[in-house]
Amino acid sequence: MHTYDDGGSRGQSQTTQVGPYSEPAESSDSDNPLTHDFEQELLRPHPTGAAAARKPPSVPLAPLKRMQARFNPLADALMYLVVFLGGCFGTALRYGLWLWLPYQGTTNHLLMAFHPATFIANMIATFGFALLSSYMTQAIWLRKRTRQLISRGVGMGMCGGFSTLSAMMIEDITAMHNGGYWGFFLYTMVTFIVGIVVAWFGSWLGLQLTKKRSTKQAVADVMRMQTRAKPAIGVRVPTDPDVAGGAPTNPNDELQSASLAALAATTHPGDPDPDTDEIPVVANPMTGEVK
Amino acid sequence: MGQFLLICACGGVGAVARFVLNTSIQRSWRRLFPLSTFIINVLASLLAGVAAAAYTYQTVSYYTYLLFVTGFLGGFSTFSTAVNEMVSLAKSKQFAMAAFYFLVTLVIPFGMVIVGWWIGSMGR
Repeated sequence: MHTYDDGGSRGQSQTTQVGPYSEPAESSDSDNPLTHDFEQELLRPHPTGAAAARKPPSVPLAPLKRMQARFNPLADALMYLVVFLGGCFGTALRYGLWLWLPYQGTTNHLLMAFHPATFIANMIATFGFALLSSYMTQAIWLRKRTRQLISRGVGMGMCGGFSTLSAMMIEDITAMHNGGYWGFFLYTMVTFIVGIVVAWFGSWLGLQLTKKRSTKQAVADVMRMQTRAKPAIGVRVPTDPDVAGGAPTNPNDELQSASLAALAATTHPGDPDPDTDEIPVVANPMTGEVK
Repeated sequence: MGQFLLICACGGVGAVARFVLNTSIQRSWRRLFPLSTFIINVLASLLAGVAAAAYTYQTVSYYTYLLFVTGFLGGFSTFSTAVNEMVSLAKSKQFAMAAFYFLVTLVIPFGMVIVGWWIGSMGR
C-alpha cells in the first residue's frame, strides 16, 4: 500500500523538484528579463504537505467504513437484491423471447448463424442501457440513491441480464462447426455494428429527453445563487426600463454567462485529486445536506 | 414453469456475480480500458465453451445446459455494457481505444469459446 509516509517516494519527489527549479534560472541569465523569471516563479505551483509528494497520497478506507453501505457498494444489501431481481427479469425476458422465436435451422451457410431471439434481445438491451445511463447522468432532480438503485437494478441487472455475449459466441462456434464461416462473420459484425448505432441513438435520446428539464434546473440554481441587493424599505425603484436607464437585455444571455461564471468558480484546475477509496462527499447547496 | 423460474433465478445469480466482480475490479483499476466488462465477458465465454462441449458430447442433460448457459452465463455476460463502453469511449474522442476495445471484445471471447470447447472435449 502506497502511503504518504513512504520515505522512498518522498525522497524521489525532492530530487525531481530540484531539476525544474534550477533549469529556468540558467536560461533567464542568457536571454530572459528578470520580470519574466519572477512571473514564472509566481505562476509555478508551490505545493506543501501531502500535495508535495510526486504521487498524491493513497488513502485507504477506514475498517469500520468498509462495512457501511454508503461507503462500500459491496456491503449494500439492497443493491444485491435489486441487481438479482433485475437479472431475473432480464433472463426471463431473454428466455421468453427465445421460446417465442425459436431458431429454425437452415442449411444456408450465410444465414446459419443468425439467431433472431439473441439478436433482438441484444439490441433492445443495448438501447435500453444507453438510454437509461445517459438519462440517469442528467436527471439531477432524482435523489442520488434512487438514481443508483435504478441504474444498478434496471441498467446493470435487467439490461445486462437481457443481453448476452456468451450465447452469441456459442452460436458463432456452432455455425463454424457446421461450416458457416461467412455466416458467423456476418452475424457477429452485424450484431456489433447495429448495436453501436443503437447505443449511440439511445444515449442521444436520453440527453434529448433530459435537456429541457436539466437546463431549467441549472438556470434555477444560478438564479438562487445570485444574491441581488434588495432596495431599502421606502426607496422607490423604477420598474420601467426606460426610466431606469438600463438597456433591455436578453435575460437568457445574462443567465448563461452567469452560469458559466459559476461553473468556472467551482472548478479549480491544477489541484491533483488524492487517490482515495471514499465516495466524495458533496454538500447540497440548497439544503446544506451532505449525501 | 418451475424450470423457467429456476433459469431466471440463475440469471439473477449471474447478474449478482457480475456486480460483485465489476465493483471489485473497478475499485483498483483506474485506467481508460474497461477491464472489468472485458474480464467478465472473457470468463463467461470460456465457461460457455466448456458447457457447449459438455452438452454436445452428451455429458450433461439439456436442462442443466439451459440452467447454466441461458441462466447463469446469460446473466453474467453482457453485450449491452460492452457496446455502450465502446460508444462512450468514441464520444470522448478516444477513437483508438474504442477500436482496440471493439477488436479485443470480438476476438478474445471467440478464442476463449474455442479454448473452452477444447477443454470440455478433452476427457472424451
